[in-house]
Amino acid sequence: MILRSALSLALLWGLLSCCLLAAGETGRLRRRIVLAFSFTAGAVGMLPLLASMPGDLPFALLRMFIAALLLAMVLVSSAALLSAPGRGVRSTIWRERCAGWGRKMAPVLFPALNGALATAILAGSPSTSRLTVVAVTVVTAFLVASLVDLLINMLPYRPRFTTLTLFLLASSLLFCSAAFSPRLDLFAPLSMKIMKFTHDFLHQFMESMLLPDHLFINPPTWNFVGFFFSQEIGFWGALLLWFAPVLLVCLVVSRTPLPSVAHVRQGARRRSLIAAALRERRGLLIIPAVAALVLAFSVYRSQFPDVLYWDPAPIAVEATPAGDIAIPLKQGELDLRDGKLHKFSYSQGSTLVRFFVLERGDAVVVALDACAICPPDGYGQGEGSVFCYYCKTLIPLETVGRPGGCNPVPVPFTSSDQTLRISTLQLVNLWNSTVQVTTKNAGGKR
Amino acid sequence: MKRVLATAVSIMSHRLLLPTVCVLFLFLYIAVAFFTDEALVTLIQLIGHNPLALVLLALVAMNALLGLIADIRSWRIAGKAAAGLHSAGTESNFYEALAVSGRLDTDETARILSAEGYQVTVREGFVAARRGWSLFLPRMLWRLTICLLFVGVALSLSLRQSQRVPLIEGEALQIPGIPPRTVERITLEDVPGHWFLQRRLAITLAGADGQRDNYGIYPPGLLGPGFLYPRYLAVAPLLRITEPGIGVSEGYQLIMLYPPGREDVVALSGDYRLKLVILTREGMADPFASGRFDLHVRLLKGDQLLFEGDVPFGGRFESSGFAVELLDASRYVVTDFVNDYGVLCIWMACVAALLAVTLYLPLRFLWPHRFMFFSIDSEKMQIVSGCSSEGKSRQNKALYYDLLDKICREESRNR
Repeated sequence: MILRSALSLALLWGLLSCCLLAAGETGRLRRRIVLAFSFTAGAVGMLPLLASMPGDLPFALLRMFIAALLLAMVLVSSAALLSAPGRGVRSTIWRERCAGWGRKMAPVLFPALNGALATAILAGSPSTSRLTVVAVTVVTAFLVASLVDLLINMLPYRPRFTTLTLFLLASSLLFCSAAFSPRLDLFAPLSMKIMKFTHDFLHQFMESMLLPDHLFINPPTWNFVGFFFSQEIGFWGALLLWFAPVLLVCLVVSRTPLPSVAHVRQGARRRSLIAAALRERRGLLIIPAVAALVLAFSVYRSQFPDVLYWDPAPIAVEATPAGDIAIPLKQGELDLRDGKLHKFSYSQGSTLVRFFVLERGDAVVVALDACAICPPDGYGQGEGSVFCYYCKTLIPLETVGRPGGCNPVPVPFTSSDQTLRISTLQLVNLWNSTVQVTTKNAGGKR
Repeated sequence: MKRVLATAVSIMSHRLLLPTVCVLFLFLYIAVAFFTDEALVTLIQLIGHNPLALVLLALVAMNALLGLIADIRSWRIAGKAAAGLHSAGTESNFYEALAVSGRLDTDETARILSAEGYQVTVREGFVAARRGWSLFLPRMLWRLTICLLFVGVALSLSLRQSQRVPLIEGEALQIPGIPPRTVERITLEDVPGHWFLQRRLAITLAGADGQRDNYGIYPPGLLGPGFLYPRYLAVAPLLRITEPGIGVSEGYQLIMLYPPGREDVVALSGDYRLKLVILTREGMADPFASGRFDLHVRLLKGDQLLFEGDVPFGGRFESSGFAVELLDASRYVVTDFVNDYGVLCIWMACVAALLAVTLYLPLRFLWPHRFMFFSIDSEKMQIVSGCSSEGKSRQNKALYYDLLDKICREESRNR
């Protein structure tokens, strides 16, 4: 799986370096050196972060950078739309100045971030030798970049880049690279945030506008309102924001005024000038179209991550006459201290409770196979984390056992004589109260 | 002073002010989201108590108002220019403007433009033609929307006062600053066919002078200076509870048992609690509408269940010395008494926005405004011309270019 990720990342890096090379203004050799240096600096610079920072912190920092890049893209493309040509001299000067800064910044920023991403994704696992992975990554990256560059140079048509379209494609390729790791993927957390924002906004709006509650509203109206409280709104809202830079850049391009030809007195000449301008404008839409494809692929990666999770079938357990569940820490092949997720199920009447036991390094933890926010789709175990199947949130192992957010709901237990004891009364009550709330809460967290 | 004022006005009327303020609040929201899960609620509280944030909101409203005034002025100038009465600053009002040497045959130009469906104004040495409808009105309504919305939000966030009041049928209603009234009647009925409500709630309040006022669900009615905003429906059972060793207590219990299935607790002496839930049966009438229901009671000591049973309306349940009697029940509505005039502004903003969008779409796509004019500048011996459009601009421009060609051709033919 690492090999497949590495190949995909190398291909994305190849495309990124090619578009940076194609859009650059300085000499080709100098551009190559800048790209190579920036990529290596990013890749190597990530190593001390991974080594020194605990748990998911380096990944969270990197994801924050990528999120900032998405926000910057939305803002920059909105600003470009607002300051479209024809808005006055001052606006034109600003636009050109910003474009100049952008062109200088892009060959350093994007390769560095890409290098850091590659290291984080490929060397993030403690089981691999980080230095070797980084060295192999850097060498492969240069080979692939050269190969893709060679192939692209053979193409008969080369699309024209503006600073805006260059930033758009480069950041889309970065988002796509990030989607190869659930810990760096941006789309899933973005859809959660949007779901939360929409829910809160609508709730506040209804209260502020003194709108009646669902008790009084007829079902068709409430079903319509309910859509904005459902999980779909998070997905569609995130999709809108995800593709917003592409849409805005397309608008900027399509709203670029055609040249004034009022002074040309030959109709044929006028038409040919306008046709040339329209052709050029359409040509500028190629890069946003490619960016849209890359972004669509990254959404696919985010929704269907190519990661296998450890998710054992729950073992059915029964209560003792005293009303407790007793599970030995080690019995035959079953070893609760092996660091793996062990799922159990307990049934009482029509209620089937799922819970798991996990050795977290420092202690054994017992938790429901459900959180306090999402419908109880359960958890799988990945590298250094458990993964909520419903909202696709990664919960670092060191926080499993703590209540709150999308963390599995902790279950009180006692441990004696190498046996865990859980009160069935507490377990069933905890499951019922948790599941009742999350099932009612249309769509839960996502 | 004049310069400072001019700078202030130019900042306040700048078209980037609205997006800038929105981006500022977006950054603030993101910053708040790092510290709390309830980012929006926290942000609302922050803005409501921060004069600077309120000034920013007011600035946006002022910006929209100034934009509205500027739009009206340029619309009047454009109107005058279209009638051939005003030519100053004409160029800035048109997408394309050009002065050419040539001969303007006003009648022929007017004939061509009329044949293309334009409405033509002809004066001595001047032809103007327009087609379709201007987006002026939806634009004005949009500016008004922004202005009212931000005024409403600023007012609502800074001045809103809300007080939760239970309205119990048959009981007096005491709200500070408002003459006391009695909740005479509360009714709930189904309204099949209503476009957004499924039930109609009617609350009748009677004043000391015998005046009666009716309040419904939406739009909320005004009671004195505030709105009466019904939040939840509830039924208050009149319970007589007998506890061994303690005695008998009787009274209406203001607990949340409605809709049926909802459980609430009455605390008893010591560690005892009485959990109550309305019994649901096939085909039973809505307990709020009928005012009659049976209860299922559970007596707990701590987390331990001591007994449970059903209490019919008007009946009694007894066990281990404890007794519960359900003597009667009253309807009540948990209501918020909200003092907030920002709501009115936001309602008006919603109406203005709806009107703006309703007008914009057909005007922009079916009847876009197109305009062009040709005028003889006798001082410079030139024909001054310009064209603009709010849609189908390439068709408009093509006709404009053809007419310019014709004007120039006329001159070369004359030479």
